[in-house]
Amino acid sequence: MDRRAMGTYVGAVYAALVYAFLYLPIGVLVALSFNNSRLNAVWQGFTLDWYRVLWHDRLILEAAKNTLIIGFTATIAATMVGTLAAVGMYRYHFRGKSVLDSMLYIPIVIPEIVLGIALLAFFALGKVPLGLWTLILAHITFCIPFVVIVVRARLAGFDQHLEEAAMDLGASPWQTFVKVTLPLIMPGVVAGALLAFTLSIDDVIISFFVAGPGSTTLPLKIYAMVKQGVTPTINALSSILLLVTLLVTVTAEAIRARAH
Amino acid sequence: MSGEEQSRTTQEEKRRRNWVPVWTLAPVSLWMVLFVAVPLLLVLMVSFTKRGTYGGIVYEFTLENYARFFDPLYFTVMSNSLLVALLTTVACILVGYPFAYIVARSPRRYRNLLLMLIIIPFWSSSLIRTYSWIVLLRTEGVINNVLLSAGLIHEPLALLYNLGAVIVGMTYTLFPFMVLPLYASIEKLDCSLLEAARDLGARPWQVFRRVTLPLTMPGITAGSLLVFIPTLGLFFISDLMGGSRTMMISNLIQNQFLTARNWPFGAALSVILMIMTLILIGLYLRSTGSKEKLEVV
Amino acid sequence: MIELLNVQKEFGSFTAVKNLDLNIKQGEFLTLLGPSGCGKTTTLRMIAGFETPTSGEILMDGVSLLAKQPYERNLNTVFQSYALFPHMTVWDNVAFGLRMHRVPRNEIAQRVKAALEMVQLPEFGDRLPRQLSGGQQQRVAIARAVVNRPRVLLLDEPLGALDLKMRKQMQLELKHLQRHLGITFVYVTHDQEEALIMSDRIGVMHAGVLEQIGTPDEIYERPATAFVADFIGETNLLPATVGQANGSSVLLEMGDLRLRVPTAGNLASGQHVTVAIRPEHLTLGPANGLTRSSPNGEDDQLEVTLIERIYAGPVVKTVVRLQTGKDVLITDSTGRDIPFKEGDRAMLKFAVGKVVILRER
Repeated sequence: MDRRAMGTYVGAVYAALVYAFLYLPIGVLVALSFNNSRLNAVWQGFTLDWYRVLWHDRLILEAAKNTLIIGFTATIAATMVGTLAAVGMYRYHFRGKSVLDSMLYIPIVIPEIVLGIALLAFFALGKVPLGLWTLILAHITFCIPFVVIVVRARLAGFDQHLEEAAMDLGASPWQTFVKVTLPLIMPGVVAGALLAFTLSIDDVIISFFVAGPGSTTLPLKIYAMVKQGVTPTINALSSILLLVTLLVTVTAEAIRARAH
Repeated sequence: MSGEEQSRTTQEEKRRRNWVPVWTLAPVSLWMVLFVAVPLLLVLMVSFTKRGTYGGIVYEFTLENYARFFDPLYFTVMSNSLLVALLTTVACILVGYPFAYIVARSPRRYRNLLLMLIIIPFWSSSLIRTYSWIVLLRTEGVINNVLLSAGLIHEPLALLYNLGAVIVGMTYTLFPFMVLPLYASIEKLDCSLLEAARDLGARPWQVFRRVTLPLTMPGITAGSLLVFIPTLGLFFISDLMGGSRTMMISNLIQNQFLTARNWPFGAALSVILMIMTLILIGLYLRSTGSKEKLEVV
Repeated sequence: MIELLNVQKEFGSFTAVKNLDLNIKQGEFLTLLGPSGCGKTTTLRMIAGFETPTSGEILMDGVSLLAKQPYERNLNTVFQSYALFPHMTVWDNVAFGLRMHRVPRNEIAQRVKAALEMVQLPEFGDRLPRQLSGGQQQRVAIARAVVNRPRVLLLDEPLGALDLKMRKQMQLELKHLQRHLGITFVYVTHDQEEALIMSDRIGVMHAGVLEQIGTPDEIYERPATAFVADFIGETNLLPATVGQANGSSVLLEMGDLRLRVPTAGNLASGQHVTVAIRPEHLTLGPANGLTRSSPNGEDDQLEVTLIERIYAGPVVKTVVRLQTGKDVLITDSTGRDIPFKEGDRAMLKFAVGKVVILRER
C-alpha cells in the first residue's frame, strides 16, 4: 500500500471512530428503550412496555402537552417577529441599528443560564407568577434571534431590485411583501421556524428557571427523572424526543438544500 | 400649491415612508428591550443589593457580593469552571480538527451526507445526549457491563461523578459547535495554496504549520468561542455527571437562586460570567474585525 | 412632459446629482450617458421614485411626482439585472403589473399575450425566468414594463449583461419598439456608441452634472466641454491661445501654428482655451515645402513626427508628435496608402470647419 492510500485509509477509520463517538451513545440509548429489563444494561429481549408506560403516565403526557403548546406558540410568535425584523434590518438603515443588532446577539452568545436567571428576576420582581406564560415568553425571547439570523442569511442573496420592480409595477409595500419578498425568503422563514421549534422543545436551562409548579416541560421532566436515577422509561421518552428533532432537522436541511 | 400646503404633503410623505420600518422593527425592538435588556439590567441592579434575612432583596447599595467572589471557596469554583472549559475546548480541537479536515476533503458526493451527520447532533437535545453518556458510564452502565462480562475487570469502574466525566459530557455536547466552523474554514481553503507550498519545498508538517493552520485559524477561534462560553453555563452536565464534589460556576449560580435564596450573590456571579463572555467576544471581534464569522448557525 | 427642476441628491456628504435641470419631451428617446458614478442611474431612480431628491422638484405634466410612491407613478422601469421574479412564470411576471392595477382577467390575458408576441416570446409563458437565456430574460423584462402602457419607460443599462452581438441586435429592436409604441424612453447607459445609435437626444453626465444635452450629431460634432469631447468617440484636446478675433472667425495660436477657425462665441484676445479636433478630421501630408501657405502667417498645418501606425480593422490609427511634445491621434480609412513610416516627418493638416473651441468650466 502506498503512502497516500494509507493516509486515506487512516483518515476514513478515524472519521468512522468519531462518528461512532457521536452516534453510539444515542444508539445505545434508543436500543435500551426497547430492552425488556428494568435494571440491567444487558439486552434481555424486545419490548414496547416502556413506551406503554409513557402513554399511561399522566404527568408525562401533561409535560408533553405543555412542550407542544410552548413550542408551537413560541415558534409562531418568534417567526413572525423575527421575519419582520430580518426584513426591516435588511432593508433599512437607521440609527440604533447596531444596538438592536447587539441585543439580538446577546441571547445567542451569553451563557443561557444568565438569560435564564435574568428572566426569572424580571418575572419575580414584576410579580408575574411563573407558569406556562412565563415559559412561552422566555422561549419566544431566545428563539427570535435565531429566526432573525436564518432569515437574514436568506435575504443576503436577495436582489433588492425585485422589490423595486414590484413597486414599479404598481404593488403597494404590503403587496410587495406578500407577493414577492415573502415567497422568496420562505425557505429561510421555514428553516428559521423549524430551528426555533427544536430549540424550544429541547430547552432545559432557561425553562429550568422560568417554569412554575405544574408547568413542567418534557426536558425538565427528563432532567428531574434522571436525577432520580436511570430508568427505561427515560430511554423511551428520550428516544421519542430524538426522533422528533431528527425529523425536523432533516426537513429543514432538505428545504435548505432545495432552496440553493 | 401654497408653500404651507407643500410642506404638509412632504411631511405626510415622510410619515408614510417611515411607517414601513416601524411595523417591521417595532415588535422586535420592544421585545428585545423588554425581555433581554431590562432583565439583564435588573440582574446588574440586584447584584449591588443586600440579601434580606429570609432570602428577599434589600435595596441598599453594596459591593459585598462582588467581594465575596474572591473568597477562596468561590474562587476555586471559578478556576475549576475555567479549567473544565479550557480542557473541553482543547479536547474538541484535538478530536475535531482532523475530523473536520477529513470531512471537508472527502469526495464531494459523500460530503453533504457526512456534514448532515454532524448537524443532526447539533440540533438534538443536549440534555438527552448527556443522559446517553450516563447510561454508558454509570456503575451498572453499558461500559462496565461489557467489560465485566468480557472478564477484563472484576469490579465495576467508577467512571461517572468525576471531573473527567464532566469533560466527556461537555465535549460530546459541544463537539458540533467546534466542528462546523472548522469545517467551514477548511472547506474554503484553496488546495492550490497547499500545492504551491509543497512545490516550494515544504514538507507535509511545514505545509500544515505555515499554510493550513494560519488559514484555518478563524475556524479554530470561532469554534473555541462557541465551545468555551456555553461550557460555563451548562449546569445540568456537571450536576448530573460531576456529582457533589465538582461544583461549577453555573451550579453555584443556580444554587444561589433556587436553594440558598441569595439572589444578590447569584446576580453578582451572573454579571461576572457575562462580563467574562463579553470580554472574550470583544477579543474575538477585535482579532477578526467582523461579527460575520460567528454566524455558523 | 417630465421636468426636473434644480434637482439635487446627496448621499451623506457625497453629492450624486448636482442642480440638475432636465426637460424630457413627449415621445422622445432620451439617453443619459456617462461613466459609472456620474449620477445617471440616481437620476433615473429619482424619476421612478426609488430615491427622493434632497432638493428640487420633479414634475410630470406639470404635477409634482415627489409626493407619489413608485407604485402610484404612471411609469415603468426595466432594470439592469432585469429583476424578474424568480418564483413566477414568464406569464405571471408580465401579468403582475396588470393584476396590481386590478385589470379584468380577460383583458389581462389579451394584453399579456400581445406583449409576449411583441417581444417574440409567445411560447414562453409557462417557463420560469431561470430557464431563459439572457436575451430572452431581457425581452420579458421589457414586455413586463410595456404591458402596463406606461407613459414613460425608464431603462437602466438594460443591455449591460448581454454579449456584444446580442446587444447590437437589441439596440435596434428597442429603437423600433420605441418608435412603434410612441412611449417616451429614458435610457441610461455608459456605452457612447449605444447612445449615438438609439437616441433622439443625449444628455451627457459627469460627476453629478449634466454637461451637455443635444441630438447625437450635436453632441458628437459640437461637444460643449472637454469631458463630452473626450467621452464621446476619440478626440484630440489641444491647448491654444486666442489671438485676434473678429465677428465670424478667430485666430488660434498653437505653438508655431496660427489657425483661423469660424466661431460664433465671444472670445477675448489672449484668452487660453482648449481646442477639440476629431482624429478623422486630421490628415497627413508630405513634409516637403515647409512653406507657409498664407502670407500673414495663418496656416492650417504644422510639422509633426510620426510615432506609430496601428492597424485597427476598418481604420488605421496614426500617432504623431507635435514639436511641443504632445501626441495627436489621426484616423484614416484602411486602404488609403500613407507613404510614411515611423520616425518620418510630415505635415499635419486640420479641417478648419471641424475645430471646436470648448467652453471653459
